[in-house]
Amino acid sequence: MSTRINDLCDSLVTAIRDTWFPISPDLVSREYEVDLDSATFLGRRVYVFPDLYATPEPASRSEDYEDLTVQILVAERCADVGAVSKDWLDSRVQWVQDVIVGYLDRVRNEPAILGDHWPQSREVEVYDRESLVERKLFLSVVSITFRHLYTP
Amino acid sequence: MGLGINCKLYRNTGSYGSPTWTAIDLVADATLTPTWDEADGSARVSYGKQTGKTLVGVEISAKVRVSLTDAGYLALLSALNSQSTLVDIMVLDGASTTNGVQGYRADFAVFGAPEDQSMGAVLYRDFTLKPGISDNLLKSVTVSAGAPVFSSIAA
Repeated sequence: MSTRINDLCDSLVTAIRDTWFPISPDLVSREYEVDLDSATFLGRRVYVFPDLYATPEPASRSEDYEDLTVQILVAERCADVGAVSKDWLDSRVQWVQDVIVGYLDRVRNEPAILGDHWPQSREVEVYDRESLVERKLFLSVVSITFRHLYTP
Repeated sequence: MGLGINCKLYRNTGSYGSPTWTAIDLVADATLTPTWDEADGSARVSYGKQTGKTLVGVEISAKVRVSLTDAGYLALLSALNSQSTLVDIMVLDGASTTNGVQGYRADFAVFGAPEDQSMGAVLYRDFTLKPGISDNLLKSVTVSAGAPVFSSIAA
């Protein structure tokens, strides 16, 4: 039997894949741990991590609300020679907004996308400065909390 | 120990004489208010006021999560939208099979059901139920030997 938070992560992986259509070496997957220290990984990687879930609250006598937080990490190494250009970074920042964050905005109008989950809040770390400077690595982290209605 | 979340609002889906009790699961908060009307019965025999109980009203306020498919919710909504429809309801402070649990049963009319539609809200309706005009009179309920036992409101 799977856990509710991993079911949510798997639904997000499917939804992102169905929106993005990654072609190898690009990929999207659910993970617990990834190695981003390799200087040779290629393509754009999207990883979905289960983060935490909180104490459920009763929504009715038969249902509970539960908040589930997941993290979506987008990583891509710039293979261009020299410094990373602003245009290269702008396009990655735009992609995160359009494909990851933009998808979640659709859920408001199309709640059936994620079944009984709907986004409550999100926080986006647009890029990690240290990773960019030291490793020419674009690293963006989207943290989202979903509320889930379920029958315990 | 009694808990609100374990209280039950049952709807009879069978006949009055042979009921089938189905819990309305989408009830969130609920309040049961039995209250007797009062009448002054004071007389010169005493300086002390004397008050008589005349009629008892049993009002149920139930916050129910909106559903397009739940039969219990839809039955309450149907009764709201009808001048004459009554719903055979049993309200208990526990399950109908737990000895000692108490409550009431009547053919209830639904008098109101406001719905908060503010942007951040999940939809609920706050139903107000009172016993309607029916040949099936208000009964108090006590669960004994694992089943509800109905008693008339006696003098």
